[in-house]
Amino acid sequence: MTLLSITDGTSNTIMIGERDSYRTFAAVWVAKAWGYDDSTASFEGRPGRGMSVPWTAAGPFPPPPTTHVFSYAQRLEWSSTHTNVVGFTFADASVHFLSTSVDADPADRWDNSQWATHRNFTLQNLYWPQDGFVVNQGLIN
Amino acid sequence: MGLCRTFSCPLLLTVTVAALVSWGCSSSSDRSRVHGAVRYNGEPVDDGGIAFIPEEGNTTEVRATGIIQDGYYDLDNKHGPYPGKYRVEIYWNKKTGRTITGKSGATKDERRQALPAKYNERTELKVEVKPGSNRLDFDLKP
Repeated sequence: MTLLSITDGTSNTIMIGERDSYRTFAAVWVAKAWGYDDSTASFEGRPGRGMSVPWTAAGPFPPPPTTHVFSYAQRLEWSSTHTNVVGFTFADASVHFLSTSVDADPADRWDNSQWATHRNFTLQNLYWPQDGFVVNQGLIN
Repeated sequence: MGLCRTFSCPLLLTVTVAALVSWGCSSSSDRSRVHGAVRYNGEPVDDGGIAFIPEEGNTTEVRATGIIQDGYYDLDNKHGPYPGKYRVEIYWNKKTGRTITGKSGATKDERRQALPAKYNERTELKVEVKPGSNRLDFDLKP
């Protein structure tokens, strides 16, 4: 990853983001994974199906867990104990809180080996440095 | 919400006024809750994603997305869609029954998206979201 490779613009590209210590393992700022193969560490933030993805409040399954959940949607998510926002540093070194209501691709599975299509959803647009989609700035505070 | 309704129906509006109204409507308290069960061929969708994508003519361009877990989804009034007409995309990452061994030797269940394109990439699912809480079940057939 170099500046020149961020063709979407550094102010439109996530570099690192927040992770809470409540649902996940640790309060760390996780880097994003740069590509399909070059793994950074155990903690690779990925957009998946959203940020701070909660267990749904009703339905025939267990109550919200206090530890890491082995679901595709939650294993590598960015998350926060802030209400409805998660902190990020972008590639231009600016800091933003993104609303957890920002849309994320419902087809994204965290599973990079089978994930090759970049579609026009806001969190994925912020994640991929070369997707070519325009980020709707109205959705970013 | 009452305010937005009142202003957006009679088209007394210039483009500017319309823009102001739609901006005024986009506070998070105006989102609706959508929740419900998702089954395919009678089987609960145990790990999936759902998206509400505004149809042409909707006053908002905001998409609402979330996860489906153990056959159920729930987008609260901070994450759900604004009232209006949407098409719905649903994905199910279903266990294939095989396991995958990663580079580290760890194993996990192999999953593949299992729903036909008429429910996602070329979706035929359309809903109307009303203000407040919406129970929207999807009992999908092959």
